[in-house]
Amino acid sequence: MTCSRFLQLPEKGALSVFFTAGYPRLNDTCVVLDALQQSGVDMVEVGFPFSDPVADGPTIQESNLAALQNGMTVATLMTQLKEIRGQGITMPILLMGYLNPVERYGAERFFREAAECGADALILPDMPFDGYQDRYKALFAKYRLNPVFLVTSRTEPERVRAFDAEGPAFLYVLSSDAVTGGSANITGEREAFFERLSAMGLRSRLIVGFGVSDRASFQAVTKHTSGAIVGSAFLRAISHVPRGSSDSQSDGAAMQEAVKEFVSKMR
Amino acid sequence: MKLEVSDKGYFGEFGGAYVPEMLYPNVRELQLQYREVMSEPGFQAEVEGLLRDFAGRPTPMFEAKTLSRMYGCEILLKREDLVHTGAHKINNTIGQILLARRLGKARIIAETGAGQHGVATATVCALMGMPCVVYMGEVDMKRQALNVARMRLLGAEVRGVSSGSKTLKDATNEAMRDWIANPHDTHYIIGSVVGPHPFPDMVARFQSVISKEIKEQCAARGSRQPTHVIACVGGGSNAMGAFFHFIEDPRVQLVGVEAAGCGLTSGRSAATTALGHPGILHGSKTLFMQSEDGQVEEAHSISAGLDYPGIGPQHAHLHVSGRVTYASVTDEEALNGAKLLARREGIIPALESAHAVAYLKGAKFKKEDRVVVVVSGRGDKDMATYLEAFGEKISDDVQ
Repeated sequence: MTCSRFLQLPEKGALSVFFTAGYPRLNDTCVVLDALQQSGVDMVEVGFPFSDPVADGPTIQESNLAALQNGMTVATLMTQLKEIRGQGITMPILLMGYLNPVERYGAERFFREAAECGADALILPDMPFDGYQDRYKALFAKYRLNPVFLVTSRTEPERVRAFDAEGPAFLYVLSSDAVTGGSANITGEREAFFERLSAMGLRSRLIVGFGVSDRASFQAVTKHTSGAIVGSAFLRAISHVPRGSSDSQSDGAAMQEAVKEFVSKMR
Repeated sequence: MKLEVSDKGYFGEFGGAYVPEMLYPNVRELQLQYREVMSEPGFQAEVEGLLRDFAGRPTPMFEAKTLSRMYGCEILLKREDLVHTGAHKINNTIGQILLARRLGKARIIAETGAGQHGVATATVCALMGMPCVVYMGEVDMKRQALNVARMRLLGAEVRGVSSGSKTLKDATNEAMRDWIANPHDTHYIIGSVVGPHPFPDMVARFQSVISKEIKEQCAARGSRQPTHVIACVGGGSNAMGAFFHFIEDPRVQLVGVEAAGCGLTSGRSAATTALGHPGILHGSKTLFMQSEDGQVEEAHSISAGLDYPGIGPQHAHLHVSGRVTYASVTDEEALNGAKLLARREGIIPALESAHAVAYLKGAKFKKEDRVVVVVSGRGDKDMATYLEAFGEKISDDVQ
């Protein structure tokens, strides 16, 4: 069952932004969320940091390490997110991170608290699909969180259908064979892949990620899909926002401005 | 006990294949094919031929008479230091490159810590005429400059890794990222019994030639099988190779020696079984050193090859089930072990192997015990570290 907040998403051209919790400063998570909502972004993906993010390129790796150095932990993230739904954040929120911090926190506790905080979905890129079926599916169902599955141009159609049958929030379609932060080189081959997926008649929406960094790449990848996720380019855009009244939080007005400017360049 | 991998790649509760979707087809292809390819007589003959004619196997088993007198038992050294390139790593790279060729791969990548696996990979790539990229932490590149030069002379491209702790764990991350970006033509030769299934099982099988030879060589020496097999453990490939054919024989005590670094409580250690917790790293569920929040901790050992925060899933299982005893040896004890082997037996071991030698000092043996110690590699690469550690006392006798 797809959470109702995903049903608010526009059919076409949904803009989703990824950022790392606790970056550039520890208490920026809600500052950034608020700025994104004000800027009219459709959905947000909040990354919780891991020391060894193998699916991520240099920009997200650095944001992970910076967040960890800032003192970011899973427990802190849960505390930061606790109030957000009461503060007028209505966008769908996805949490994204690697399995180990989830397991160390306690998988059940993690799922329960994430749901209590108002998260709608969870992306765990190193969770294998058989592991999902054997262990995590029950937790997703129990706490009414939606899974998200990655799909690449090499994912077999039967496998795509198996993902689709799980009622994910959406299918996270990779624009390229690379880690995050590269460039989405939209060749004819790539476009044919998006067309092929969209012609499968899947019930899940297709949202494209990896290598989406500007208006041109956003438009190119959303021609045959519902939307796209931008991450590394966004982190670069907010990395220099000055500190606010304390070292642990960026200046709210400057963050609003940086985010607004970034979003206006995306669509 | 038996150490059989399950269909999903588990040894007890450890193992599996925790890879992002981008790597799923690569890992799946290997899972479906490795056992079949490895059991083909033609493939086996090719591996055996290269191990014999190119690498120089079998390696000798040498009776260390002075050590035997010192410790009051029979001590036999399995001389992996004498195999081509100077360490056991080539047993695995020969097997994997032949497998990669069968799978139609055209490019090879690898990670390396001490540089021994990088050299062994660069060597087989030169032999097969395949392009080779080796990822190595910048810290390791500095302390193992000789091996960097060897890899380059062999034609490999060595890419320095500046993320994280700039050592083996980060080099492994970077190699995985390369594989994600080049899934079609590239095979990733993992250097230890780590990573997603089938790597731990596959690497253990390629390294199992060590215990196969130990069995044969013990049989040739009065048909008595060893009472103990002792090997150092970083990720754990030489140890898995040395234990492999003895796991089902409860009469053989198996000992894995980890690096305690500056000491177990110093905060600068690599002794995973003592300090680690279960978790998911580099594609498998295993034991590794991590914070309360599940962040991977940096390991420390004077030996670059043992400087890894985790161990392979088989070792995690063998530890939890109690089949293998894991002990640890400090940097200082390892240095003394190296000096002992150099002065008493005329063998300068790699710092990794010196940990296995150093374990003997605190252990209790009976007169009739037959103890096999694996000298996993030779010490040439560590001369700079030995010089720095011993200084002017390098020619002094063992303490």
